Amino acid sequence: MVDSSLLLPPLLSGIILGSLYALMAMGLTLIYSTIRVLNFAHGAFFMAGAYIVWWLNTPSSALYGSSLPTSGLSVPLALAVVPAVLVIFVIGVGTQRFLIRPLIRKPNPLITTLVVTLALATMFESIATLIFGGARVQFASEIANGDIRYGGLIITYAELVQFAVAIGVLVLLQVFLKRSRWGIGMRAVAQDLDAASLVGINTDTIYLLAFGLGSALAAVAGFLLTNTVFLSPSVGATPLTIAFIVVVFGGIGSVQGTILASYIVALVQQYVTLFLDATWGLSFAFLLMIAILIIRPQGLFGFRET
Amino acid sequence: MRLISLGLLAVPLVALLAYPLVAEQGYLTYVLVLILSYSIIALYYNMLLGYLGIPFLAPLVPYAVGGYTVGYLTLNGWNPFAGLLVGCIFAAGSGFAFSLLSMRLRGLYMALYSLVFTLFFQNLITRQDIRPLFDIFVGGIGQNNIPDITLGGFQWRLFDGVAYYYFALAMLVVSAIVLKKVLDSRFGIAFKGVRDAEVYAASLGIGIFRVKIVAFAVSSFFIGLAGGLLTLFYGAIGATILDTSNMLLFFSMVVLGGLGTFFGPVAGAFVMVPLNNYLTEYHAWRFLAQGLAVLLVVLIFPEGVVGRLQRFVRGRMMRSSTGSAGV
Amino acid sequence: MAILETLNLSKSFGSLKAVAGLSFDVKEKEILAVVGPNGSGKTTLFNVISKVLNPDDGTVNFDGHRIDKLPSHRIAHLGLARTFQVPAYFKSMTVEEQVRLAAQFGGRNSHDPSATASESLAFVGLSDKAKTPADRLDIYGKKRLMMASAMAIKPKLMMLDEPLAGLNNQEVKEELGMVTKIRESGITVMIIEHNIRAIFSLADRTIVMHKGEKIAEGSPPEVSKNVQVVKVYLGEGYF
Repeated sequence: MVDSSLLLPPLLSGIILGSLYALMAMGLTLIYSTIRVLNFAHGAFFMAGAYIVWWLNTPSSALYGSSLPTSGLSVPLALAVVPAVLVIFVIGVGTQRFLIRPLIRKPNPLITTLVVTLALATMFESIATLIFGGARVQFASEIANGDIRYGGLIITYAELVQFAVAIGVLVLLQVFLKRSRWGIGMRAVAQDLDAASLVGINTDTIYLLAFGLGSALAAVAGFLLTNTVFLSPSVGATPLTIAFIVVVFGGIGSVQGTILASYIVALVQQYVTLFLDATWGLSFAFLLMIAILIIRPQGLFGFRET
Repeated sequence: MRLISLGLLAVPLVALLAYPLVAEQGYLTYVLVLILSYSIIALYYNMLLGYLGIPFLAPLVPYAVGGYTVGYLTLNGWNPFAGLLVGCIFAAGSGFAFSLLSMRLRGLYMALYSLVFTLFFQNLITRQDIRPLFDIFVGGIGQNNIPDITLGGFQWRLFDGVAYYYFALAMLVVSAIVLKKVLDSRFGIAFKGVRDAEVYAASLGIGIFRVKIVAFAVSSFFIGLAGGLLTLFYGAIGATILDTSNMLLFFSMVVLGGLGTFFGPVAGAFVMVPLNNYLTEYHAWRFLAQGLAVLLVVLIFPEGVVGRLQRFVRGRMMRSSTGSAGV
Repeated sequence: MAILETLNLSKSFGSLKAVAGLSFDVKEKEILAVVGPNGSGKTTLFNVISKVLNPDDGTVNFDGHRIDKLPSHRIAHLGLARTFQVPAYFKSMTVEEQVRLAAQFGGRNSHDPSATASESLAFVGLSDKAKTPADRLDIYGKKRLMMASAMAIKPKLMMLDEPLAGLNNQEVKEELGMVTKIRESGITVMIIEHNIRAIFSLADRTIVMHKGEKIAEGSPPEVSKNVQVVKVYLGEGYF
């Protein structure tokens, strides 16, 4: 039997990780529910956002004994996030404008947009490899130092910041969707495209905004997650997979489903890691999703695709 | 009309038959074996993606099942051809099983489910800690030193694998003929109905589930054939076969050529496979070029190059026929 | 003799009871009109009978078979055809291809799908459009194509979901004639319609639905005098 004091740490780390997954998955859901496009480049945006912060933050490449390009500006992390998020927002808007919009009203939009975003992801990954090399790099510092200890529990300040920022951004997003003119328009488009355009909502602009915002969320998640671990051109693959699992599991287009599923997946991962080992974490997340979809083809809270 | 298209087909076929006789062997032969095998995949992936309109993202699974089965059996002393046949049957079985598990899924759920299914499969076969799986798949290392096909004392991998070249060509022709037959059959007509309006098709008496199950099994059979063939040709197979980059290759062949067009995906294979192989030495630049190529072609020809061509030809024919009728 | 019979048929969406324990029957060779205000569950009723949706509860018998556990296509094979409110068609097919498909897959004892297809097309007056792509037809054309496809499966019962919606006066007149013709060829008809004046001129019997329940049943004149029915429609100006 596992000592009961061992059961608490995975709960905490699961909640923190789940919040980050929710951030990542909400971006994907936002884009899908408004535009009906599955953005395969979401993981690439995650990675690119993180690299931009890294580039701005890293004092000099001498740290790595290599000739990796760095800005040498030593921009503080909290500040460096801002331009990173803005750049990814703009890239998201551009993706919608130049890659998705031309395809959306053509035949087979689901499949053609899949190919295009998959190709975009491949390009981003190769560009990152060309610039930063294929090897892993680490941030010079974590977003916060120190930790709180209580009994056997250890929570680092960095984890607390991750959690707080993730929740903060998610709350802001909800406020935006519920209160602001644009947010309400976005929800209207998500619910009923024809009705929304009838009441005079400019769907083109809504689409641009949704894609930009969704991508920006990936960039925030990218920075937060990689800050305490490492960074590589393919670092977005696993979070993307998890976001896919979460989105399907929770039900495509459902906010509460996405958030609930994020925590379930993260907790399952953490506890499986405790009882078996880390490599099994993802396998169980896969199995969980496969099982859910067999029982409920529309996910936990999702609407049915027709 | 029929004669013209058959004539048009004969030209590349004769060229492909004659190529090893007139040209010197080398890397091109190697690439051509890949192109021909991938053409089989493209034809049958298109059956699901284009003709049935199912956003299925796990064609790599039947490919791997076919390949690993052949590898395992020949490593254990089986005749390669018998192994290949069993590989195809297992691949068909994997498609059948997948279709049963995913029968109620639509649209994006299908896309994500099948994608995650692929990743799960990859995750499973790279595991070192499940003994029976490791014995078959050899984890991250993969199967190596798979015996060559030897026929009458002649080893097929010799002379740049020209024997494989002819074998792949023959298999491609057979696959294409079978596909044509399927598409012209009752099932083929049902495909279009299911793709265009599934619920309506069911209300007119089409058994949707049966159509899909058969389609998944048949297409997986042939994708598995290509997987098995290439595994014998390479003499090895590993879990990297299930990587996303390979997924992009499978996917882009069909979409670039033209979803739901017969020869479009083959054309896609003839473009994408060389692009993939001749640029291998350029590493990251290769993926950049590939991604960019896919992006541009899809944006310029959303219905695929062959799809666009077909529409153009049809438009011309319609105009000329209405013109002659004096309308 | 009842050709279709439902017993306690129910279907809910969340807390909304779209069809609430409905029992009724359709007699052989009659025209039965199903009327009721928007959202009263008429289309859901059709969807549950034809198994586009699974019923939560209740049984459906059709022509001596219990069909509530059968998949859609098997129900079609037994001879139950239906149309949809929003015209359904196969966008990559021509008119003739679609109807032939219906004859081929749904047609009972149809040895010659092509002949059945051209009969059905002639029946709805679409013969001259046989080679036209289905998506080039106008609304009325699409509705007739849907009806031809339904005819091609050689049904015993045809369920029509708002066949008159979106048609102009001339087309309404033609369409009503077509419904009469369908019945004359020995096919039972069950019809949902909002245009009550038009449909009451045709129907032998009527069921009125409200909130998923049957609130009245009888011949059109009887039903129009029913107090409850008038109340349900009050303010909508139908009577």
